[in-house]
Amino acid sequence: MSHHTRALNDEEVLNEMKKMVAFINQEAIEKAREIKVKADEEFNIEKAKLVRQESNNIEATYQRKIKQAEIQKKITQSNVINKSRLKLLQARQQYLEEVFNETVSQLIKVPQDNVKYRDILKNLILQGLYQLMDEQVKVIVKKSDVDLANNAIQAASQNYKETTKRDIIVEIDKENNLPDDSAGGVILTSHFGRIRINNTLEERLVLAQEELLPEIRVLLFGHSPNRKHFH
Amino acid sequence: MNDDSVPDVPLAFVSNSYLDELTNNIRSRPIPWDGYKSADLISEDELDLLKKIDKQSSEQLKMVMRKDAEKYSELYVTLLEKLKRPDTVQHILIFVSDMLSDDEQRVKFFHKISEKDANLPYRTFLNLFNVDDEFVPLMSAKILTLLIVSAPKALPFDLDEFFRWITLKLKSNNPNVYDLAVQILDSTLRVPSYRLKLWEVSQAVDTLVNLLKVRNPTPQMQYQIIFCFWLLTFEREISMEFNKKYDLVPTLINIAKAAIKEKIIRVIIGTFRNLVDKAPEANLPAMLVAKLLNFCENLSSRKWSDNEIVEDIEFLKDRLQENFHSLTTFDEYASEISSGMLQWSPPHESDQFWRQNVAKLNEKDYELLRILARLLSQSNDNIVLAIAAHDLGQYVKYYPNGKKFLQEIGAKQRIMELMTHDDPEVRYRALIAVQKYMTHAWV
Repeated sequence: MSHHTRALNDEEVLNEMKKMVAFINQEAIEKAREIKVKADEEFNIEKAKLVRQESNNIEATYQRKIKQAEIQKKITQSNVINKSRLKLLQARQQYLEEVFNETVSQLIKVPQDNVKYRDILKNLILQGLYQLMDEQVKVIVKKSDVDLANNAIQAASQNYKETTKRDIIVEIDKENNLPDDSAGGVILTSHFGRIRINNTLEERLVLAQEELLPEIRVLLFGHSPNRKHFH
Repeated sequence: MNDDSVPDVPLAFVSNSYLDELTNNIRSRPIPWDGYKSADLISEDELDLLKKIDKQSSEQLKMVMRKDAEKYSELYVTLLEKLKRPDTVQHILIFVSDMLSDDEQRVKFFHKISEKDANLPYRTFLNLFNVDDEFVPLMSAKILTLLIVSAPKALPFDLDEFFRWITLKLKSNNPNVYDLAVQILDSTLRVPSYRLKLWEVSQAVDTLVNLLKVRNPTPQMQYQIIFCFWLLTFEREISMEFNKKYDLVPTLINIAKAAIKEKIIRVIIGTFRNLVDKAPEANLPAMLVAKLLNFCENLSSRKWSDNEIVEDIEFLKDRLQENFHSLTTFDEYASEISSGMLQWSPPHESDQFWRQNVAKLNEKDYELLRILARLLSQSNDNIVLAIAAHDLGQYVKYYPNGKKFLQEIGAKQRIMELMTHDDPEVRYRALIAVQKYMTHAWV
């Protein structure tokens, strides 16, 4: 049996040491590599998380901006629509005013037809009498209408008495007159001027304007496109 | 604490004594470069460059590379493209290897070459895989590995080719060769995007698993292969399928139990940690069945010189225990019994489960008991018989009043019959069940 144990010579010692160093080096690199792998993975996870967070933030900001832009667009649209609507309304208003102004200027022609005018006067007076339902009524007219008015008063009083079975005294007011530039018509007063009914042509026109405005509008502009219900 | 004397972890770590020996042999057979110049195979300039580094000292090499690394990377690739003689190619590969192992950062000059021509230099090295020579393909692969893991942007060639070649080398009969192949994977798989690539290349992982299970690898080889698995399991998709496909968990537990080297256990526990981290639903049940929890409790009582392994073991233990408790819900048990597909899932062997839930077996007119009794009578599956017998034994142990009912439905007789069954496990479970039945008989 041969001995294998003897002291190692220098070269062998060096070799053994080299082997040990190589071995330790290998083990160290392997462990270091494992640590690096774990670190890289943690980095990737963290990075992915941050990227996700930031993308979500950017997405949210972007959505907010889009919304704001949409709202802005809606506001602008609304403004434009409103402006054009206003313009339309203004234009229509202008037309209406023209119509009314034209009518006012036509009003002066009414009294030209005496027969018709007398009838008008009579009806205006009669309506006033019914409204007042008093025993004594004064009628204010234009100076130029006095004769026609007297005629009208007679007819009106007659009608009134027949209809209401009441007596009434209707006189032209000698102290007050409608201005000369008035188109015509009457003002009725009773109780010493304390109750007045304005039935001048101008006043009647104003009333007519108010009442007929809807119909006039339809005649001029047609029905509103959105309208659903009709009488 | 920035200590520059500590070297960085190498990106590509591929070497063994076999390759070293081949390299040294080649170095000892010098090339007559002057002759090449005379034959007009290389130019005057190229000869000059070669003379400056051929057979020079490492200090000389460093000096030259400090100034002209870019020139040399271009030179080497050009020569590899035009010179085809095996011994020439061998030498040039060694020049490249020397240049890169001295300083891995120099690989950037090789990447620069691809800016002018997308095929260079990757295809240059890839083509050398086909050379009929022991050394050339291996050294080319080693160099290509470094190129692959340090690539600044997507590579202009398909890694499938590379992985298929590696798979071939893994099947080699020469342990030195498949050692290098595994080392190459150890470096390549550090890049996350390559992991799924390898997983999809057919047979690559199959071959690795085969190496581990069948071909009796050395401890160092075991470590290297499992290191690959550890890297692969960082990807959730892989963690979901790995165990199902290869039954990895029991295999690794067995290796860990027999392992002498700490680093093998370290990397196995790391792999388990990834499986639990990335795909708990797919892996925790299998781990519990494989009794990993016991093993972890065993491991945590040992002394370790490494902090990370302690952390990983504790993590595993916690998650396994958590999962164990949540799995022992009565509902899970009831659905398992109802399905008839009995397995040794956690509830069966948990005393705590039986203590808490035994009375529930009486619910709905002893529904579950009747099912167990029926399985006991009708099943041909030995595992089912064993488990059913075991469960009925647990039932009477924790609920002695149930004995009468079991006798009424004939379950007691059946268990006694099973004591003479062919299968030893069934006999054993039946015997234990009868034992539980008989205990307290004097009460």
